[in-house]
Amino acid sequence: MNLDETQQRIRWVTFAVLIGVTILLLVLDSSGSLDNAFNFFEDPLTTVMGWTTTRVDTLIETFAGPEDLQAAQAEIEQLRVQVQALQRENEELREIEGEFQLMQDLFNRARESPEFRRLTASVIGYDTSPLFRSIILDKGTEDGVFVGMPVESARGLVGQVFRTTNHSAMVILITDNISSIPARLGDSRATGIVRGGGLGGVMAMDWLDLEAQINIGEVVYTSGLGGRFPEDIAIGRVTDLERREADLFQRAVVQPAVDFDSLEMVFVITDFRTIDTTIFDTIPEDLLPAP
Amino acid sequence: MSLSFYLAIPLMAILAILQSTLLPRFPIFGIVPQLWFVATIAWTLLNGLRQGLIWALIAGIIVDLFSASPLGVTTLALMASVALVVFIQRHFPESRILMPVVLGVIATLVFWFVYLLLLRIVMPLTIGGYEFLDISNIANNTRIPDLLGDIASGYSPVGPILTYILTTALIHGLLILPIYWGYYNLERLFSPKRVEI
Repeated sequence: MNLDETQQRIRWVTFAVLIGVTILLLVLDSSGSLDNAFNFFEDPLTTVMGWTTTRVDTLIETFAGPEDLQAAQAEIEQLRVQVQALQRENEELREIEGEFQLMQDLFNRARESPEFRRLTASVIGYDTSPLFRSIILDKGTEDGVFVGMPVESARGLVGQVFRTTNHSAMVILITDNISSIPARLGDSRATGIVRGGGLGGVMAMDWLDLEAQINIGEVVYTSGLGGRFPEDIAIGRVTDLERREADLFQRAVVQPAVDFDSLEMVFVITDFRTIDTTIFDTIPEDLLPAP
Repeated sequence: MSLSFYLAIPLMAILAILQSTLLPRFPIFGIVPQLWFVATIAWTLLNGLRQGLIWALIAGIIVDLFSASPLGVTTLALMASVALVVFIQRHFPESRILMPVVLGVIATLVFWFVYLLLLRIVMPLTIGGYEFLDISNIANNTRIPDLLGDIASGYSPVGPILTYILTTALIHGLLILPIYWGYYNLERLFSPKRVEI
């Protein structure tokens, strides 16, 4: 027997053994006898496989990065535009809500006193001189606004029309020191005159009876006396009292009800019922001087 | 009429509108600077008394249209301010930084002094003209005792007014610099100095 024949025989035997082992494994597997062996080998392998997969994924992501980054950046840009649009929309809605609130307040105020005839006007400017407290409205004589008409907001009295043009009107605010308004206190019913303080001054109610028991926090209303303003429009609230025994009258410092820095819309009261003072036009005969 | 006259009218109209609408929304330390005033003084410092007075006239009239102030009071106060500024400028060492700042402050103080003085004289007459504003003359006739009473009770407007005027003067003194330099560069751009070779 030569060497070649021996080697060939070994190969065939090996082949036959391998086929035999494979068939044996196949038979054992189909009968379920290899489950334990599988578990023994498979568990550590799956752990290694998991670890490898993660690393491979990272590697792939790293190589595929620039493309994904671009996509992400595009998405971020898109979202940013969307956010901006939504913010703008939100601001617009807030603005509308603010205007709605303002209109609702004005409407409620108008409903409280339906006997007045009113005209809505927008505030379009402020006085150019800091010494004067006045505002400019977008309604003038052509709209029915005339000098002397009272102006109010949803919160209270604003002032009085001072000067008009065809399409605008200047209103002297109640805080200006040339403004004086006949007023009455809500609780104590004491009457006096509310004067504006102007630049650096305070609004105060003068000529209050020294005997009147006035409380801090009392609301000040227009009294309607004199016929320039309708009665019962809120002017402000008493924040301080000055009582000097030497004086004949006391004085109350008044905080205005209206925030004049944030005025947007106001009512010009074009017609209102004044207090009837015709009774004083005729002097009773017994008071007439003897002829 | 010079070109400055035609420049002053639209410029002052724009500045007065801004003063009435935009600037009150952005006060500096609670003070609304008066741009029209600073613009007039800066122009005066560069172009002298005659043009300064023309600008003062235009600025005063336009600004008073948007104010409850009697028409003409601002013009008179501004003219007095312009005249004094030109007078001081002649005796002031030449400087393009210190001079506008100092004269801007002085001009503001003079303006307010004259303005308040004129109002004190004119306002009773004005109030008389608007009787509807004043149902009780008693209130006006007792202004001085009221003021003394205010001082005694701590509600005097004098302190706040003085603080206001001084702060305004300082703000105007700073604001005048960019405006003065703006005018100066514009003038150099449109009418450069002749140089003899």
